[in-house]
Amino acid sequence: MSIRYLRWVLVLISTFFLFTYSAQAQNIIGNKKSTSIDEPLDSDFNQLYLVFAGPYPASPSSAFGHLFLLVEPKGGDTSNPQLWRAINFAADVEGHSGISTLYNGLIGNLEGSFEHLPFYKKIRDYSYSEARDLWLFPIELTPKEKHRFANFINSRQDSTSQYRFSDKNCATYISKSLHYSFDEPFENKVFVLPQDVISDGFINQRLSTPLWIQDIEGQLGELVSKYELNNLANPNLDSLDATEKVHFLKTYEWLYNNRSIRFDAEKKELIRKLRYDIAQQETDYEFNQLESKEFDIHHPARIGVNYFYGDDSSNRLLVDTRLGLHGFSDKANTYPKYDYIDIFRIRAMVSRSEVLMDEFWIFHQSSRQPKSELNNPLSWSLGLGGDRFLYEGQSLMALGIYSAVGKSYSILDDLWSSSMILSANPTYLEKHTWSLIVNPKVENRIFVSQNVKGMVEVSNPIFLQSNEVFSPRLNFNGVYSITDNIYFTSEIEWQSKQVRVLGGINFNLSL
Amino acid sequence: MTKRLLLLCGITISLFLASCVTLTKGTSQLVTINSNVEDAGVYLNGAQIGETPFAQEIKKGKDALVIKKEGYKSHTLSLSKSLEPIFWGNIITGGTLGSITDFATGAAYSYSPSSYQVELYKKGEGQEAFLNRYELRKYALLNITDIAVDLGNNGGDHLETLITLADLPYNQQSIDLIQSKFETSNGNEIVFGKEVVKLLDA
Repeated sequence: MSIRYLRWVLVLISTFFLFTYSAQAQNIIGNKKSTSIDEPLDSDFNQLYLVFAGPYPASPSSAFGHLFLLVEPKGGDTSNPQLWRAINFAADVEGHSGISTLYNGLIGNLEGSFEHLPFYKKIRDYSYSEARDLWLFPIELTPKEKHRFANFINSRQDSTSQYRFSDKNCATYISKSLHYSFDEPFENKVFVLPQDVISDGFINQRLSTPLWIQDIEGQLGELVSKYELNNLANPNLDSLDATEKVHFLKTYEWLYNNRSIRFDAEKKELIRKLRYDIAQQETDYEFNQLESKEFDIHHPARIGVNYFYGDDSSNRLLVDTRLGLHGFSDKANTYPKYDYIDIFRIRAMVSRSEVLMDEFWIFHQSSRQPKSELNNPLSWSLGLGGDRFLYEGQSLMALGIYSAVGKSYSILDDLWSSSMILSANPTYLEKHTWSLIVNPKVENRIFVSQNVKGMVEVSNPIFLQSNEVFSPRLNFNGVYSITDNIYFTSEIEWQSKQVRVLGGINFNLSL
Repeated sequence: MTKRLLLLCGITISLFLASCVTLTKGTSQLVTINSNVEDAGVYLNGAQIGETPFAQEIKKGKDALVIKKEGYKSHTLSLSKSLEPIFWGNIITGGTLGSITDFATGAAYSYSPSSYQVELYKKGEGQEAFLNRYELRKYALLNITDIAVDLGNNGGDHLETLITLADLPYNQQSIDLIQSKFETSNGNEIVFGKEVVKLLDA
């Protein structure tokens, strides 16, 4: 695939993004760097961290996450992570409109540089504004390597470098700085993605178990559910202890700032009173604490080769190529477990006489966050591409927009979750015309172990033009992971007495 | 009938998803504007429509308000500008670089939906003084609950950060000073922001 072609894929993805999520940044007016850290970096620091900000659900092309560096000073200076020095490589888009930024970023006509700023700003940007997890990987450096790292960073403090989305981005320059520190050669690639940097041989062997800052939505999820149901409408303040008051306030802030729930003057006054109260009392409230947590991530690209059998006695080879962050077939403990993000995917059936598209996505993301309570977060899917459906006895591709909402429930802890989803897909149906496909479905995900899992899905696609209402489709998927990057998959699909079976091996690959 | 019902559900879902981009309903929205200076004029299309603190319904699409005050540089508050370029910068770059020129005539940020804090640039004021004030107030407004928790616990990361931004040493005396500012504000984030920036002048 030529570089030019890959760039146009990014254009398509971002264009899609423009029309679907154009208001996500509404709370970020003027949320730019203001007080940066201007002093040169002292090489006598305590610890360097490679920080991975998880995928941004509102941004398909940021679904690979983001990388930056964090420097913890010597113990005597401060143990407060908010004041540690974050070193972020970013593009200077001043004077560019959105489209101009996109175009110039694609062709490499932007300049970027390292900015140094206190970590609290990055926590606010990522954990609060964009609801991303932050993973802080400690990097083992010798004193000499620390010195080389400081030299590299300081030498670039007032300089700019070419910025291009594909290969001269944050991950590129972070990787370059680390390779320089290790005194190892750095080779630029066609694509440089955050997870590739984390799994880079020279870098990965220096990383240890990361510290984790869960995104604020995740932190508050349970509190919001609890207080939405019980205390929020008519809180009985006398019954709340100091810690519960804090929980109430955090919930309020979340609802008010992120869900645009309006509160009247009386409620606002109540909030202020609560703030005043908690400032007078000791609490055991703990948010945003750094927690050590195992992290696994796989390579971003995948190629799968499967044997396909259809009940019309067709035997085909099914080739699955994909670029993305996480899919259901990836190992159970890879991050993010319940977000499935394809940035680009083609699944094609190949026989001696023809090649048939089976699935095609320019972008597809599904978020399922199963909880054991009824009032859990919304599950959703959004995609631009196509899937194959059985329509009046014919297997046809339906290309268009795929959107779905529903709820996910944890039936048996992390072992079994069930999602009830209703999708509405305005699509172009191959050989026919435009159609709306409404597809209610129930997905059951069963995690037998880290390496073995399965999904049972029952759905009933209904087409706008068709008189057929009841046409259930049954899918069984099985996954057996050999490593983080090699796994077997199998699938059985049944609909209208037609069966298709496939099984094969898949490899996650570095770009 | 069943099919029509299902299709209706589907269309409703599509509309729901599409409407996710519209965070306010109706043809107007209640906009609240506070400023670092009292009685700054709020102008729409050249005509004054109020003063800070400002709270009025503004028609959607009327997205540029100018905040003016004698002795300060005028600042144009764009109610929809937030869609870009920061938005686009966040796409792949993971964030855009800040720019000093963004602060040449002041700066604004939203601290809750349709509520804006505008920091006007005093004529003749040094850039560093402006940025320090801007950052301290913003931190106080956006983190007031966490700061309140730390005050209750007589210490904590948020409190330390606030005190550092106020250019004070992190010790009991500074904590007591912030506590007194907090009590004066009575838990009101705008008043608390005003109180803590006074520390920079002290």
